[in-house]
Amino acid sequence: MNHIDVSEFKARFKKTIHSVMKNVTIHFKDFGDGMWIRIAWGQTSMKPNQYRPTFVVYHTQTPYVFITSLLNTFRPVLCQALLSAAKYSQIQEMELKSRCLDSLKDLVFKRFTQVSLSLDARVTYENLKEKERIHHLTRETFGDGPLPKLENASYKLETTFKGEHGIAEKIEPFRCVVKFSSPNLLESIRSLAPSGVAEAPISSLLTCIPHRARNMFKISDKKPMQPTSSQATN
Amino acid sequence: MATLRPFEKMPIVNVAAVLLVGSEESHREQLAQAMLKEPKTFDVKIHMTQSLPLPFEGDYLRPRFDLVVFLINLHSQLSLNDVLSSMMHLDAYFYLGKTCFLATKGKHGSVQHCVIDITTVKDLADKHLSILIQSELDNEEDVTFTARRLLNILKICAGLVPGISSLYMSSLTETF
Repeated sequence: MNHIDVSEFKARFKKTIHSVMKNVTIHFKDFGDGMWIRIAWGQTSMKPNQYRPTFVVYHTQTPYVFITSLLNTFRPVLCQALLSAAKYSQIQEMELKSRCLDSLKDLVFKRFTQVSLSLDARVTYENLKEKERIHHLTRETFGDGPLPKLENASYKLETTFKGEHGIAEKIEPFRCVVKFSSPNLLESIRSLAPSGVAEAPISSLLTCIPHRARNMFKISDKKPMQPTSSQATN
Repeated sequence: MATLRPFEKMPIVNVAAVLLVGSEESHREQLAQAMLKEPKTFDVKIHMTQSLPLPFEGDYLRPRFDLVVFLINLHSQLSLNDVLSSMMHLDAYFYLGKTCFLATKGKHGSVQHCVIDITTVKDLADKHLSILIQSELDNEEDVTFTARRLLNILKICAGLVPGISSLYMSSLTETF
């Protein structure tokens, strides 16, 4: 869900609740990095009870909600409203309860450090120095944070055949396009060295993509292995 | 003197040590985790690295390696190059049943992406009188099964199976 949908979410949520129960006060507040919904429930004869509200915390980018103080009678209505507002088809309660919202968030969004294999005394990493070097190089090249999402990078080669003298000049230059595609190309390139798929340092043809803000290159013979003329970026 | 020798150190009672050598970290970790989880009658020590030789500094802490497993990803030329250069740092006595090759990503759906021909790896294993295992390592079942096979080989190489030594491994290879 993006920002435009948030108001739609709020409208639909209110509409769904009020279509079933009129006597309910609903308030929305953006607090921290999530949306907080405060719901005070009332019945047909009673006014909404402002002293026992239900709170719902919803991070719109995730499929999780955190709910507190909800009576079983109002559960179906709330679930229905969440489903309809967020456009999901089902909702399920997780076997997870705590008094600390931040911990719940960490657990659910997997923000804690998983117990790794390296802590097991029966396992030894012999290549720690190399791993450290690669980590350092990768960090230097790409930084720490999330990288912009690109799907493709293409390299148009206008290079001539490099072979034996006498033959090379007579052959037409090869026309070749090398295309890399990925759901998240820059992340894939960043993980090339740490995963062991390629040696660090990674070729500057790949690492220059974010720095030069381009992902379409023409490589010709005049200056070997250097991207030359400019082309519009993606 | 960077060569790894099989009989330089004393063995530890009821402990088998294996060294996984290969460029792909995820494969090494998957196998290690699965090998640790498997029920077994002996203790296992797993060391992992991308390539040999092993760093000189930690040598006094290392156990006697009973088995060295070379992992080759058929999609990656780098993984074969790493293994080939690592093999030179292994003492010849290791090739008497204490080494094993594991080739991944060679089956069904991924054949068209194979950069390395499986026959190359088969020849390599045959020339060094070593077992070659092929596995995909793409689902848990496969990983568990491969881990079990490696543990069986490891148990023999560590001398923990009465009456069978690692020299018998050559009878499992084609050339004999």
